[in-house]
Amino acid sequence: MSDGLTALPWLSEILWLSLTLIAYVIALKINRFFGGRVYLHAILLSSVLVLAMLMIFAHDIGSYAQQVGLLTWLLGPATCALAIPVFRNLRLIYQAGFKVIGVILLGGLLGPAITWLILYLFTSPHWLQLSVLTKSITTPLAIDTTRLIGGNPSVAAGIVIVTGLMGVLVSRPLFKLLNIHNSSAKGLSLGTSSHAIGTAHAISLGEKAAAFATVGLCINGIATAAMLPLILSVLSSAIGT
Amino acid sequence: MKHYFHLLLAVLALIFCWLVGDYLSVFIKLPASLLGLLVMLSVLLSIKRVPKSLDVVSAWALRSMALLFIPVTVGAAAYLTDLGAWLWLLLLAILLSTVLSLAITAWLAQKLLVKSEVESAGE
Repeated sequence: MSDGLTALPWLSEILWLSLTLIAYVIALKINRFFGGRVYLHAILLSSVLVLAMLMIFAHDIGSYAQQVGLLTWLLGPATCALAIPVFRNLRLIYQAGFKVIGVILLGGLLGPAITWLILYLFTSPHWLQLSVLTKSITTPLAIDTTRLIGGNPSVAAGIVIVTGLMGVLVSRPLFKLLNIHNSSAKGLSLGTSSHAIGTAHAISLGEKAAAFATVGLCINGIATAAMLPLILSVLSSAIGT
Repeated sequence: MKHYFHLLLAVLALIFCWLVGDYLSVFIKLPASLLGLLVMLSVLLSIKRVPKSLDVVSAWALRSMALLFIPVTVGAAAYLTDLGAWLWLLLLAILLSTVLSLAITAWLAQKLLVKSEVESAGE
């Protein structure tokens, strides 16, 4: 199939865009049918469906990524849409005060720092170490930031999604164990350490949890995306020269 | 008709902010999408409100953003063989760090928020 369509590149672009869209819609339906279970997350399911189709049609991942480049391009403008929840929650951020922002920054630092330390101690490949640093921030910012610091954006996106899913899966027993009953605190920690997937889960915990999750997601996302390139460029120039 | 025109304008506004961010990223060493987000935020701060159509379009964009991740996530599968044995260490590291950061953030936030809100426990 990939050979037959090389004469008509735009046709295979439309074809794979539609197949991706169909996979997404099917994944959403399956997820809703099973009551929105986290381990059946739409991103996970639709990626598996697309991978299955790629295998069936013997189409390679590289040319697929190129053909659906439009979707990846749209991530840029879609990320700008995050400014709206930030604007909406400015008052809440202001009211929450510097201490709460400090908690978000601490949580946002701990997640990637611990992951990096483990990988560093086991001397894993350098590109992998650079790809885990954005694990707690929302996928579009993580992709862009990882590309800038020289990690692998695709692997980083995978790590971000795994982090989000794991965070939601462990959150319920963890909150019970630590006796966390305040829904704002639950939301804040979910948004900070599990970005958009955590925030989607926090919405099910109530309005307050959802608002604080959004605050955590936004502040950690902006802070990490802004600080990481700066820190790494300072470090590399310090080591390099 | 006018409604759709406004929605189209909102989409163009998002694209425009991103393009400005992309342009700025040549001079400022920050991710283009972060700069775009900050451009949009400064626009909102200066007009002090969110236009209805922008609200509709951005809510829709944020809700269906998962669709836009699919190519990148599918791309990650190509690196599974590169990861090889590192995959298990990576998963373990992610699990450990996520549990710790979640626990510490929730615990500290509860201490701070309960004190400041004087909220009834077990809401």
